[in-house]
Amino acid sequence: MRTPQDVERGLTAPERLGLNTRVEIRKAAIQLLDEMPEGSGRLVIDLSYTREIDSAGLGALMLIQRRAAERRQSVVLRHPSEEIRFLLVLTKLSDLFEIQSLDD
Amino acid sequence: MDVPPVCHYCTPLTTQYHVAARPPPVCGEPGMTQSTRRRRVLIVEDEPALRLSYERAFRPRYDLVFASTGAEALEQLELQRPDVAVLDMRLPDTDGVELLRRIRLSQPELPVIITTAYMSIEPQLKVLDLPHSGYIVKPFRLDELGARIDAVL
Repeated sequence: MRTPQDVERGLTAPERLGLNTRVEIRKAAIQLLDEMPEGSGRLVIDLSYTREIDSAGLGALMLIQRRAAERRQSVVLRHPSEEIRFLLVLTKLSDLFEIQSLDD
Repeated sequence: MDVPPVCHYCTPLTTQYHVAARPPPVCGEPGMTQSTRRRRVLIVEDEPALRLSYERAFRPRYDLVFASTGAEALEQLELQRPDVAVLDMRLPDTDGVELLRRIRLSQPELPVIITTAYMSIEPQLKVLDLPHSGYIVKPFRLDELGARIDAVL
């Protein structure tokens, strides 16, 4: 049986998530969040191909998470590299997201 | 049964780092000289998730020893005699500079790298010495820290 929590949308983050790509990913993510019913669903951002995230990229992720929180939805960061996972932990952003690693 | 709308992804990539399958060689083993043994790195960090990242990134390259407090670090320094120590600036029972001051009492030549979010610690380090010490400002990349460790070894 399908439940509201089953609703999931996903997008793949670019190789470099930063100044040049932050607007694009933010818009795409917010559109996907808005497509799901408020109070349910989760957005999965695939970081498999992402090799670099700068402060602008981290800011974009924070804005996406904030929008999701406003709509009582969740954001999953899937398969970050070890460097990016380290960055997320170091900046405490790992507390805001569910992080799925390859070895989970 | 309804299938929930889920986007599909490409084949996941492999992780960049792999945990060594075998335990690291033990220093002092017969036939193992100073030049051939793996270098031992003491990492003093109280955040478990960061320790995990260090473990994954550096275990293949170094013999790692962890401590989560300043007191534990001093104990491990005596027991393990690392080649370099990496200290977090903020620890539950002390801070990195104070810990460095105490390390210098017993091991004046030990290379020490402090990880910090504050660039303002440089004057403190200068007062304490310390030609064998340095710092790296967060956020940094794991490979940057690895390069710093290699540079002082």
